[in-house]
Amino acid sequence: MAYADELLELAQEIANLHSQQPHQASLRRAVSTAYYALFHLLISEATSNWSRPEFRAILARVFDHGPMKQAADKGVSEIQSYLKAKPPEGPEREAANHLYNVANTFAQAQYHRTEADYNTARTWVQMEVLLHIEGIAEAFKSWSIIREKPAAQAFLISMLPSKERRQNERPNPEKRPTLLDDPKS
Amino acid sequence: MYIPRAFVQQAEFVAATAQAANALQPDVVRVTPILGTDWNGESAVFFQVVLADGTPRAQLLNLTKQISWFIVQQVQPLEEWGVLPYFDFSTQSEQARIEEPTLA
Repeated sequence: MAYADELLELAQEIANLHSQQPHQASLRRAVSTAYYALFHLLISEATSNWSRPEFRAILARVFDHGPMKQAADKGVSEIQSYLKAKPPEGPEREAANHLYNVANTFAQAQYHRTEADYNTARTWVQMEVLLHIEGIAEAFKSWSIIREKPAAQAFLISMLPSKERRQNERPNPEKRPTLLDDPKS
Repeated sequence: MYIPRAFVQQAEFVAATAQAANALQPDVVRVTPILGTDWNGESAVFFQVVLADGTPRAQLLNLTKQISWFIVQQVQPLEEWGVLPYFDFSTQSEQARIEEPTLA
């Protein structure tokens, strides 16, 4: 079984631990693990294009949460515009629906993962967690349908960090506060 | 400094959300939009959607997808208001349990 599939299965198992009275720790880990399942699925799909398998794990380290999220947001926005124009039924529209499902699920899952990992004020309910995991399982299915389509492959490439994106993310050193700043100035 | 329209015209943004939520009755009890930033520092709206009880379990995932799609199409959070949309769903009974005061 592929690592991403194992993670998805693990998320389901963790979410169902203590099913009579679910523990917040289990539910949080389930949400986080489900996100990582999709994260690793997309990375492994991208790196599988590299013809030398021994270097794929190294290539995988290039991918990062931020740029992948930005690519997902951009994908969601573009596909929404396309679907809003009500294109005719057909394989192209069906592929767009599936890609939208993957990109949107990734963006939402990353938000839920940060909530699960860092927002301790939030209370998770088992039903909600199971729905998140089901959504990610559906994204896996969507991906398996479109994985060979040019748009899906372009989506994977768009998730690589770009120089332009790095420059936009880099904070301006002139504006960064330092310990030497005079608080009165 | 760029301030998204949703922050500047919060009342209008809330009204636009309420209008979309009204169209989703009786499946949706309420939609609360919370403005903020996501972990990446992007301006965002977190829609807290409370669903009416009674939707069969097998239909819940599809229902949440339809609702989020509808709200995004109606409100257009990113295109019209400059905020990335995120969604949280709970049912009315779950929400009541979470909000229940504890004695401990």
